Amino acid sequence: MLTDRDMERYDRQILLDHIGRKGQEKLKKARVAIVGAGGLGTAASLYLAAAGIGKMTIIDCQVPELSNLNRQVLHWEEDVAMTNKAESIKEKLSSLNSDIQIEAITEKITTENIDVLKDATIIVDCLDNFSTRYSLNEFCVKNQKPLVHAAVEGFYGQLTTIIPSKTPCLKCIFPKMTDKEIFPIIGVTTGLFGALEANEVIKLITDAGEVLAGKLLFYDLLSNSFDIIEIKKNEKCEVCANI
Amino acid sequence: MAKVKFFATFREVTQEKETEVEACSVEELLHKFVDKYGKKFEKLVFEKDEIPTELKLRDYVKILVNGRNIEHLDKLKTRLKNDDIVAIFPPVGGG
Repeated sequence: MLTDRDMERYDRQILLDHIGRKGQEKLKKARVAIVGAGGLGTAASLYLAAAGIGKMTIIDCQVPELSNLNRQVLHWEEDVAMTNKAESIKEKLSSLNSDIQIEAITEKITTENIDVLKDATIIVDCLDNFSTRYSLNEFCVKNQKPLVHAAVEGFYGQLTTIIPSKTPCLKCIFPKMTDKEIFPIIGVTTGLFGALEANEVIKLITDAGEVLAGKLLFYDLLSNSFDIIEIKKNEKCEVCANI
Repeated sequence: MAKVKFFATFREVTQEKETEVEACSVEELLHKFVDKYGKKFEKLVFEKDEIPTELKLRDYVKILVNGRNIEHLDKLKTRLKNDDIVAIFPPVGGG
């Protein structure tokens, strides 16, 4: 049930036919996990908290460094080398919206502890490496949880929404990705893609519009052009073929 | 003719968002692009091999044909037919 305060706080989005009071109630009941509290995680969690997601879990084991601050805009100078990233975001977003629950998990997600995501109804991939993304992908496929994926570099990024059993999984589309420690990036790219991830989550919860299921969006901020291409399942996929 | 879409660095090197090309396989398509776009494209796509006859795709290149990664098809030997849509992009993994 929405309170009077909810009705006031979320008034401008309740006015939307696509959301309305029912949609807002769904957002309030939703449980969303944001895996990674870097550039993507900052933007995604900011807009999801503002939109009134009832419970958010933010997961990251790192502490901010000065070189993170060009894009991870919820970590501030006072947090550098001091506050865990998940805790840092929890602290800022609790001041933005004290009506929602925010949980911070300060561990690295591994196959051993990934069950901490069991309560989430939707999972948002805000990671910076594919080795953890592959574990997250397997977990989501096995547990039939939608996974919103984004990845960025430079002025460029990609986005898709994985619905297990229906769409290709991450391993179908990107089977052999290798990781690098440091990648060049401008904050607007992570900001844009994190916001687009939040938008996918809001649409998944409220059934508004359509999500990028079976579609991969590329956005090139240098040329201001975006493309959407259809993606197909690998029938022999080691992760999702037999689900 | 296959329709080819370039993304990110491939767009910068080719100076094109998309093009059309007559090719029977992904390998032939890439050769045609090396002829058309030159050394910069070649360096981006192929490993410098000891044996120059054997072409190896760099990890840096990701290619989808009609939405399927060529790793799951026939890799460089993947056949192309009219109206196939080929997407060529670099790996992106940051967050």
